[in-house]
Amino acid sequence: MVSYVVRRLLAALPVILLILVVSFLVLHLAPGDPVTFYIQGGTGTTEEFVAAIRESLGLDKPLGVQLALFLGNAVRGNLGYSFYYHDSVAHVIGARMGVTSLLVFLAVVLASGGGIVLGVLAGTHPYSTIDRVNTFVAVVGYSIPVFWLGQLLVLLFAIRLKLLPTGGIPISALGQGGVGNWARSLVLPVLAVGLMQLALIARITRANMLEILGADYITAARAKGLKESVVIFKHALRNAILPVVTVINLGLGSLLTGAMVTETVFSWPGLGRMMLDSLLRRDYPVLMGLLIVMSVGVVILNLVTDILYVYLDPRIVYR
Amino acid sequence: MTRVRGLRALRRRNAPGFEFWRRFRKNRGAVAGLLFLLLIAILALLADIVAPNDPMTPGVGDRLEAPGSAFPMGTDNLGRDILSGVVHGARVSLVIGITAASISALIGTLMGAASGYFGGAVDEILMRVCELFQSMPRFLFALVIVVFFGNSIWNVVLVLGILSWTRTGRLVRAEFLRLRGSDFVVAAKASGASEWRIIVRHVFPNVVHIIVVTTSLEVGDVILAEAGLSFLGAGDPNLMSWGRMLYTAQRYLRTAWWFSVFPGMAIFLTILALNLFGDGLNDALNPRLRRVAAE
Repeated sequence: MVSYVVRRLLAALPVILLILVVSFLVLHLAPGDPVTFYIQGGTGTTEEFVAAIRESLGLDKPLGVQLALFLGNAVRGNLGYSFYYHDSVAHVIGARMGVTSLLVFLAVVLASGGGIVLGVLAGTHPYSTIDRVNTFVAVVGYSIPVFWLGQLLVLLFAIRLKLLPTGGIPISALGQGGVGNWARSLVLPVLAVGLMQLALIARITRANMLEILGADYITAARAKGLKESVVIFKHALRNAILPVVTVINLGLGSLLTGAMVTETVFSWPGLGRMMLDSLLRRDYPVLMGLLIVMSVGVVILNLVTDILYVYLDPRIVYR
Repeated sequence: MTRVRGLRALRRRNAPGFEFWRRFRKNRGAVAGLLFLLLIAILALLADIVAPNDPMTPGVGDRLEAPGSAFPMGTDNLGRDILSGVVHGARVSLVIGITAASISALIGTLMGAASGYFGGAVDEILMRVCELFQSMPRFLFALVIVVFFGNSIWNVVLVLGILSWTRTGRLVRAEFLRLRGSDFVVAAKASGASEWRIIVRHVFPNVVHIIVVTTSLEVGDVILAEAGLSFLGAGDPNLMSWGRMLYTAQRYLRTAWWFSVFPGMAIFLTILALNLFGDGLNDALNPRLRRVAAE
C-alpha cells in the first residue's frame, strides 16, 4: 500500500512538472508586455524606468533562464510575486482559496449525498414516480450550463420569491451576518455547482442498485430472513456506491471550473474572480500560480480518491 | 406486382444503415433530439432570413423591452432584438461545436490509432501526453489562451479542439489495442498487407462507430465550453453568441429575466438534444456496448 502511494506520487511528478512548463510557455509566449500593464497609470515613465522595472521583475532574462528560475522557485514553494497585489502569489491565492474550496467541498457533499439517496430510491423502486424524477434530474442536470442554472436560481429564489440572497457572503463576513445568513447565502451557489455531479451519481447509483439487487448474494441475504433495509443499506449499497468515488474523481476538474464560473454569478470573491481580474491585468505570476494550484490540486485529489478506493473496496489490490 | 414490392422491401432491408435506423428510431428521446438539432441547424443556416432583425444593431426597440408581439423574446440593454440574437447565436454555437469537435476527433483518432496499434514506446509517450492534457484544467487553459492570444472565433475553435482530444484518443487506443491481435488483422498481415493498409482498411472501419459517438457528445461539451468562455467575457466580440448574451444579462437579472432565460434555454435545449442524440447513436451503433445506465 505504502509503496503504491509512493509510486503514484513519483509518477505524478513528471505530469506536474510538465504542467508547470506548459503554463509558463503559454503565458510567456503570449503577445502583450506585462510591464506596460504593471506601470499603467504611472506618469512620466522613462525608458530607463521601464528597463529597471523589467529587470526587477526578471523579465529581461532569456526565456530559458526565466523558466529555470521559475521552476527552481516553484519547487521550493515560491510561486513568485504578484505585479498587482504586491504580495507573494502563494499568499494571495491562499487568501482566496477558502471560498472556492468551500464551494467545491459543499458541492461534492450535496452531489454524493443527494445523488446516492436519489439513486437508491430510484433503483429500489424502478419505474415509479421517484424513478421518473431521477431520470428527469439526470437528463436536465447533465445538460444545463452551470452559469445559467445559477442565473435561473437567482431569478426564481432570490428575485421572484425573495427567499434567499442573490450574492454570497464571504467567509470573512461570517461574524457580521451570523451563521444563518451565511448558510442561506450558500444554498444557491452550492446547488448550481453540485447539480451536474448529483445527476451523474444518481444515474450510476440507480443502475448499480438495479444490477446488484438481482445478484445471488442479495437473494441469499433475503433468504436468511434479513430485514429489507439491512439488505439494501448494508449489502447492496456498499457495493453500489463504489463507482461514486470514480465519478467524483473524474468530475473534480469540472467542479472546479464550475465553481469558478458560479462565483461570477453570485459575485463571490474566490479564485474565479481573481483569475478574471488577473487576466485583465496581465498579472502573470498570479495566473501561473492559479493554473498550477488548480492542475496540481486536481492531480493530488485524483490520487486521494484512488487511495480511498482501496479502503472502500478490499477486492482491489494495488501492487 | 407483389413480387416486385417484396424484392424492393428486401433490398431496402439489406441497405446499409437500415438496421441502424431501425434501432435508432425506437429511442424516442434520440429521435426528438435529432429533430431539434435539425431545427437548430436550419435556423443557423437561414439565420439572415429567419431572424427578424440584425442581432448587433442597437435600438431596433426600446432598452430592455419585455417580450411582446414586436419582440417575442424582448430586447437587451441596448435595445437589440433577443430573438435575432438567439437565432444568430445558433450559428456561432454550431460552427464552433462541429469544427472544434472534428479537430479533436482527428487528433484523437491519430493519437489513439498510433498508440494502440504500435504499442511499446510510441504508446508510452503518447499516453503520457494524453495524461498531461487530461490533468490540465481544459477550461482554464482555454480561457488564458483565448484572452492572451486573441478571442476570434477561430482561436476559440482551435484551442477547444486541441484541448479536447483525450477522450477520443483513449477510446480509439483501447479499440486498436483490442483489434490488432484479432484474426482478421493477422490474416491481413499474413497476406502481405502493409501496416498502413491494415490500419486504414481493416482496423479503422471497426472503430468508426466509437469515433462518431464520442464526437457527437464532444460537440455538446465544446458548445458548453464556448458558452462558458463567452459568459466570462472571453468570446468573440464581433459575434452574437448565447454565452455572450448571458454575460451581459448577468447585470440585468433584476430588471430583465427574459434576457437570461431565452439564450440560456437555447444552450440547454441544444446540449440536451445532443446528449439524447448521442445516447441513441451509441445504443444503435454499439448494441453490444450498450451502457447499463441507459437501461
